[in-house]
Amino acid sequence: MKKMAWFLTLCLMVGLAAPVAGAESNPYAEPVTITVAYDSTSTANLVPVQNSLFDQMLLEKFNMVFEWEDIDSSSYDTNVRLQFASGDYPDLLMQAPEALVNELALTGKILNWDQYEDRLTDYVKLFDEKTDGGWAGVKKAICASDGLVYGLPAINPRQTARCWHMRAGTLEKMGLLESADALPASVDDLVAMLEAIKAANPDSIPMCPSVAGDSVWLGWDNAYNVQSSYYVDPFTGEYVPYGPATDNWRAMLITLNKLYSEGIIQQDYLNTTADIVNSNITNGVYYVNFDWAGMRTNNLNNLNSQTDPECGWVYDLKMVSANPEQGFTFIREAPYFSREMPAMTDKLTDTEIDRLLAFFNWTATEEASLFLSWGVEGVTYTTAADGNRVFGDEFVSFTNPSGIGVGTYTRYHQDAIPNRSIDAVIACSGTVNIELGTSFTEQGYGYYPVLSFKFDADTQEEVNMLYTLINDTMNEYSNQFVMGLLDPNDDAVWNEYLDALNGCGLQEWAQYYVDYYDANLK
Amino acid sequence: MVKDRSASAHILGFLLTLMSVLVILMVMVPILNVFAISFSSYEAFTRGEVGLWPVEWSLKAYQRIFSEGIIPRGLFNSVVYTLLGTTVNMVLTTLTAYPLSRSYMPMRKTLSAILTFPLLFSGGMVPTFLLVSNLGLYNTIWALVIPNAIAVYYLTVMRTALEGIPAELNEAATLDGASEFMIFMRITLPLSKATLAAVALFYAVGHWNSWFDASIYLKSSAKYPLQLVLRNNILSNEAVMQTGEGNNIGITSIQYASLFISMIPMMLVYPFIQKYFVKGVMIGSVKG
Repeated sequence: MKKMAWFLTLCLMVGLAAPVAGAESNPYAEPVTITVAYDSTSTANLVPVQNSLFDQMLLEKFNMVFEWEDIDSSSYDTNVRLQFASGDYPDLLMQAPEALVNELALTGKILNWDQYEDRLTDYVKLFDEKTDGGWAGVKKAICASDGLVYGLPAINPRQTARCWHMRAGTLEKMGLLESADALPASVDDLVAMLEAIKAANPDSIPMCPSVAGDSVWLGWDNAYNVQSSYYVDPFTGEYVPYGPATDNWRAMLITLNKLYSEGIIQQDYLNTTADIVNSNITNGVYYVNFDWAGMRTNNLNNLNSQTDPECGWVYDLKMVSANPEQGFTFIREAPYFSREMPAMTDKLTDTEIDRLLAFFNWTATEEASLFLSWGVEGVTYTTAADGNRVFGDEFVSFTNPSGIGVGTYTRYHQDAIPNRSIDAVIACSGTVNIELGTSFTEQGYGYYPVLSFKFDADTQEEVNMLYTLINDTMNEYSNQFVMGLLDPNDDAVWNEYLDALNGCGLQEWAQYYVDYYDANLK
Repeated sequence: MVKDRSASAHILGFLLTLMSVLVILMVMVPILNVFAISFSSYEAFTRGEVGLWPVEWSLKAYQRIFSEGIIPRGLFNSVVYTLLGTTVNMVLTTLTAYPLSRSYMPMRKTLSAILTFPLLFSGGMVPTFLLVSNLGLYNTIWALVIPNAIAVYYLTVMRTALEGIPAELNEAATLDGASEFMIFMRITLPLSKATLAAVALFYAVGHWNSWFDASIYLKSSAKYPLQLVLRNNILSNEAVMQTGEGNNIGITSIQYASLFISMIPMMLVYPFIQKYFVKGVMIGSVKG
């Protein structure tokens, strides 16, 4: 009897100990549910599917469920701000922009990631390995005004995204281009080519406006080594407080005015819509374009080939410069993306925070990179005989730009993936995005370093208000200079423009940035 | 009626007809253009060949819309919100306007002044959101219906119209033993059909076109009305075009097809209530 009692007691102790032992070996035994405000989109080919591959992966690997609140991109900021104001906000924000995250951080309801850095070792290591300034440099760029980081950025796999495009096939036939490799390198040569196109085809508008409605000086500013705000000169290393107040900007406007008066720039460029531009591309009105690389080249050829099968639009792996002897520059992007970041709120429990940290640290691994970039083999992609991955026919790719985005299944937009695989970038956008940066760097091009200014809330409000006035005045005058309503060659008129900028508080605005630059970024 | 056959009358008539034709063209040409683009191939559109009639007829845009379900669902939601919202609007507006139109109603002027105050001032977006959220209406259809249940402007129009009904009718009905509610249902409402139709149309169009309240009070995209779906679609596609990562082939056709679909319900309903609308729109402005 006594032996039986001991035996039963022993069994009971083993039985009670078993769950404890099991819990130690499985850190994710306890299921966790997180409410998530997700920056979604109603564009049909990007709407996330329910119970997606991501949801399945999350449950299998982390025993975690995300309760998604899909908020359309266009109203995401408003919705989230209202939720925080009402106190009814979610546990986690996904794909939230940096500005919103840092603004909400001031409410004290967003948790900073700095306190958990020791639990994000793979994430930190990813940035240390793949960015020049490392994780510390990126943190400094995206931190809030208190110096802490409230969102997790993603690696930007490309250095730059915009370049010159030329309708090389048609230009070669017109005898205006020797070959697609002989694209103009100097502004003088480019202007001469544009004028020759206009002379050969008077109905044309050789210079194509940006489809996205960017300024008419896009691309030309880089050619004249000037930017539309503050910048560091790539050649001298000198900080320039405000580019549109410099002689380089004036020289650029003089050239653009000349092109406008000759009908080389679209006369109604200020009112032109994307549909008009695309229609003109289709009808072969344009010959030169400065725009996003990748699918834009494809797009130009697809549209223009309807009326000119041999249009042969190509992108240029070189930049244009007004002073080739001095050198060439390109606009280098930041090594990170911070417009779609996750942010944790103070509604999370310790268990939920632990689980999320494990998940986000995992997103920096190669396994996560493959999953978030490509999805699941056999479902979203296949592996060809040569070992290269290929997206399924219905998914977006370089040859199928209007396909379904893989993010519908993986819940990560491409710019939100912490370590997006290069082959996925190439499969979607072609090689140009990667080629451009490599080519410019190899050719020794200078670039404008990304500057990140962090002001306190009051100062930020002040500089924002001043900049709105300054920028509006700059645009108003600059467009009038281009269109010939004001003469950029007239010193009196140019001085009047500078006085107008000063009247908007340019000196005061610039001083904020100069002081910050001298103290923190020099 | 004696017609004025003078030359000046003819000239005036001609000018008025000309102006009417111009206004009609200003309205119809964009509608026809939207119709034409939605039923044309995208290639014909980019070549600039589409005017007021489809070129290279294509149903691709409509096939895409109805196969994906977002826009049909938005259309269904809009119909539901419009019918429910307009019903609630009309019931509450008429039930409020009737007592205010009765001269023997105690504190009539005070109540009218209180109701008119919100015409000038509003609580603002955040307090309204807090109120809606705390009432448990967030992410429900009632968030679109209850906060805007009575529009004071239309209430004023309705009250003015009801004041125009002769008091003798009510007195006669009262002598015959009718209650206030019976007078309201059997006498007042039937005599106010024109006003009711006009106000109902205004409310219905307001519900049909609204998107902002839905964007902040509805978190489930399955509940979005059509106008919000269209808006989001257009903004998303613009963003896609700006990044250059996407391709806008076909997007414009889909947008125009969506626009045309959103116009159809109102275009179908209006001819049937036009006569009431024409009578009713003037009632609130002319007394006696």
